[in-house]
Amino acid sequence: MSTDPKEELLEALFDLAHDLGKYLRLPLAWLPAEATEAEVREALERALLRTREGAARALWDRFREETGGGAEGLDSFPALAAAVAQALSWEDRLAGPIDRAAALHDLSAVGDAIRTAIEELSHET
Amino acid sequence: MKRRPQLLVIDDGLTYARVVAQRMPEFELVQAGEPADAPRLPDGMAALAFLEGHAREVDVILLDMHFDVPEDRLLPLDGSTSLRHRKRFQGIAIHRELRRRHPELPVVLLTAVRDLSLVDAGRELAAQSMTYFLDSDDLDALRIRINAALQESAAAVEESGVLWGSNAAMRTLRRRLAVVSRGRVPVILEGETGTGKSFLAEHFIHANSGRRGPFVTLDLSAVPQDLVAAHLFGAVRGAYTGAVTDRKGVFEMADGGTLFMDEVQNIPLDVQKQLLLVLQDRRVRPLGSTRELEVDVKVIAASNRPLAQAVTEGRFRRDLYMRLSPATLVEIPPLRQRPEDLPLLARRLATQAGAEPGNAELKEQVAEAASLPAGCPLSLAIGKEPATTDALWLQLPQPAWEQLAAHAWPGNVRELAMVMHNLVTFTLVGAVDALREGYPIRSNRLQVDPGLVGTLLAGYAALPSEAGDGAEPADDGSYRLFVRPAETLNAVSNEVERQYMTALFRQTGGDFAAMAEHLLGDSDKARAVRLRFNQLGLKVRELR
Repeated sequence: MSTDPKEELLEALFDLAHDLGKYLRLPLAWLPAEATEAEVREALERALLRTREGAARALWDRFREETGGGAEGLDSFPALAAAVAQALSWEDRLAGPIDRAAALHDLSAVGDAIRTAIEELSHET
Repeated sequence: MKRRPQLLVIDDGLTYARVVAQRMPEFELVQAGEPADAPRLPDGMAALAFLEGHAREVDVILLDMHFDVPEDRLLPLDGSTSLRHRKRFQGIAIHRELRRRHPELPVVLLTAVRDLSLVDAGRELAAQSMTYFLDSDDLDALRIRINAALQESAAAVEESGVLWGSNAAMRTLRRRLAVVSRGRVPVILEGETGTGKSFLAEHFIHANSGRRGPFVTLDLSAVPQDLVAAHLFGAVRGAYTGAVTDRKGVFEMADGGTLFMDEVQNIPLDVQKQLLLVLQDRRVRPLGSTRELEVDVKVIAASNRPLAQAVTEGRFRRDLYMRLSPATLVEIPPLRQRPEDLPLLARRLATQAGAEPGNAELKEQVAEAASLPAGCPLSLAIGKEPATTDALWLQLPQPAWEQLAAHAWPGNVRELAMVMHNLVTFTLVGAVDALREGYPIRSNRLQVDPGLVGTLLAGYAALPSEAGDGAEPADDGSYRLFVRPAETLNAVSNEVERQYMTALFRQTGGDFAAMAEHLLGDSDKARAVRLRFNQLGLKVRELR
């Protein structure tokens, strides 16, 4: 087990990319073009509330807790936090009409932001 | 009903298997693992065990990268410092093992290449044959990747009668040949003996050139030097001693078609000048004639040695080389550089050998005794591969296959074809003899004598490969040497040294000071290097 905090943070970001970044995006990304509104809603619900490792919000909170605020020192962190907040804001819109393209855009942005953070940290370590 | 392409999913989760099962009715999941409605194998160990006996049922593998499975289910991964890392990049370890055991199986990695860019393995994987990355997580991207893998796999097997295989260099070669084949542009083909230059020239380049005239071959290694001009350009009666009738040259014969000049480096220098003029003017004048003929010929010049080297050594005219267009030079890799193609080639060549006259009659006798339908194919099963009931199978024991795989194939595909032909003949003859002696054949599987491969290869063991007199440096500056077993370790090390020294000699243009710098870090030790060079039996005049 690495004891270097940066290495630890990098490991945690890699896990976040897989557990959150990937599984936030996949349910909507896999939907066929002709999916019904109910199917879109179900996919969005799965993405936000039932990733492989649990709810997306819980995953993000766990990451923040495990890394002890270590990620906040990254230049890319504000953009990452904003992307996650934007994605999680879809929880409040689950009951109403869903703009599928906008939702996919917001959910995909989380993976991209995590990758940017990984790249920043990789260059440092 | 047409068989749907069979996909094997290797994934610790169900996401990908479900998406194929629910959204891609054009594909079928291989029934391996669980759950029944979206089966997948959850880790590399399970997948490798399954493929041991079922590889032929699989058309494409979908392989996840991150495997969150118990540690004892993980395959080892070089350089992995943590369990997390091994899990995260477990797909790389599985892929390596798949490539080693099943090089012909296309694999779609369910990850984007950019997600591996931070590890060296990303570059390694991106360079692999039959390996595709899913760069976008959507249905169309996955569908496109699977179809690309299926097409590549199908094309890899055979196209225009050519066995391309799955090697990356061969795939590049195919694409390049498809371009240079068109029209009248000349082509230079370089490759060792037996790599299939003449076959490619006729069955791919000429066939795809769009030219309607004939394909004519002239093997310049078989023509006496003083008759080369007459063979190329033709001659009228009395043009030279022995010219008792008019003789058509190959340019005239190939008018409107393609002329394949094999071993073109053997053309004498004075004739090279005439050839240059013919290529430039597209007119040919037979020896002793005053008339000129207009000719429209696509020229394919083949050599088993680099022509550029012959130019450097003054044995081949630079202007002719330029006229032949080095821009269209195509190199055919030797068989030893495409080991992943060996199973495919061996199987295909065995089947072809089973259909050849002589073998076909033997096969029919055995097939009838095994209650197989007349005209059934002969197939080769390697190791424990299962046999289907619609063919006569030659079961090659795994150790025998490993002998074949370890062989350097100095005679390339031609040698492999001969070995497979003999292996088929010997095995069928053995079976027919057994039948005559009253031993029944109870199954459609004939066991190949475990010692047969060794016997067949022994005849080639003493034959040096054409690269054996000097290895080529790889892109990273390393050298690949090919050394066969010898009676003593001293002989083995001498052979390694000899090849390395030859390669360096060529790389430095015969500069012993530069070689000494390379070998000993001291250019002043050129004399010692020269001495060792001589001790190894190397000759400057032969290498220049």
